[in-house]
Amino acid sequence: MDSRTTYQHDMSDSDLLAAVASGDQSAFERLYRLYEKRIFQYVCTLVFDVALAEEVVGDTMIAVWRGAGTYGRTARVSTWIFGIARHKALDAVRRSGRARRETELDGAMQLPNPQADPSEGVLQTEMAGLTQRALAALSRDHQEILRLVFYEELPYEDIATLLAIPTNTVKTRVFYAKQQLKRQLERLGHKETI
Amino acid sequence: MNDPDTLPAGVHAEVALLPWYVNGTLSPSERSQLDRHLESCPSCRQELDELTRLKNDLASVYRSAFEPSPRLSQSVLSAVARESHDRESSQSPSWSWLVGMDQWFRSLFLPRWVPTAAVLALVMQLGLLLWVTAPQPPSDGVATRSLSGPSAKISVTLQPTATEEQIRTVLQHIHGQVVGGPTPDGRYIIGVGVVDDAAMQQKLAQLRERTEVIRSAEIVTP
Repeated sequence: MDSRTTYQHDMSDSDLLAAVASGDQSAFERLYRLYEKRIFQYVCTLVFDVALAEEVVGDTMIAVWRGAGTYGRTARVSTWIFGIARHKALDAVRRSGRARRETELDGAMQLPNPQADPSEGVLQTEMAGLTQRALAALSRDHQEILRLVFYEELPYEDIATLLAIPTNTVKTRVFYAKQQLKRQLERLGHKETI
Repeated sequence: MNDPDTLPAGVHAEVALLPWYVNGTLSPSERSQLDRHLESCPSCRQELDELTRLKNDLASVYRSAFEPSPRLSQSVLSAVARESHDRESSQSPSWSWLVGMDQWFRSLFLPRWVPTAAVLALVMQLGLLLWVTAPQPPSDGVATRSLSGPSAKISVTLQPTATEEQIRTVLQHIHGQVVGGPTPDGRYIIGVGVVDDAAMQQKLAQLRERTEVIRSAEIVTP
């Protein structure tokens, strides 16, 4: 089952976070399972280093455990958690001096998922591979915003808060990110426009 | 990367909201407004189709993307379990009682009043030592009823007419005092302090001179 956030799921995220704030370890474990992979992949688009991304995810979730009581309900739980992760990721990038992706991540992102459905068609797999390569050629900002809109399904107001940019910039950034992705796909020989 | 803050010329403003039409987070009023526009705009419908395919492709990519190692979850969950245990321990009543006792006991040794008390105790001990070992002050001259130095006793018989006042004056004159008597034959024993026999004889003579008070006076031999 996909662990991504939907509006209904986010309501339960809020309940989980309230339980975490009261020191409920099992609630924290559930919240952790829901967010671990999502935060890890999101952080990977920011730090370009698998080991560093894991470190950031650990720091983020410990911060969630300690600071659950400070969640103000002004944004979604997911936005709050991604905000912590983003802050820690950018801190880690500054500390490590890593500004560009490394081959380690590119290799890692191409590893097959052992849980992938074998019934998926060859074409779909090829398309996913092309999209993955096209994504890898995008800037960090473009990769980040495409993920936040189309995978994390965050409202544009939350993304503006998370990235600390105006909502109008959020909207135009998605438009140009999609244009860049389309160009990259065409460059890779993909004939069908997305 | 520096994207323009505006959409290219010829692109409808509604396009800017289409990504959130696809992810389902627009407000109902924004959504209905877009619905009305899409009914009459083929280019925006095409953009919507492309965005919908993009969403599906990205979901496919992200779902199959690399996952963190299992060690990460073990490490984080263990750290949280340790913190949780520490929190519970610090909040348990028996433990907090012990901690309270420990803090109280430790507070006795905090350098707030202990040094002051120690100095005061030392000063008191030193004062006591000096007081005990100091030489006694000279006598203030107050007569005591005891006799200092060698003493002698004189047996006297008083005149029947002697008054108490006269008797007291005689005793003060020779620095003596009644230490015994009266005996059945009416004699009193007077003790006097003397340093030698000559002084003794002098006292005896002084008594015998006061004939109006003393009828007879004799040295008592031990």
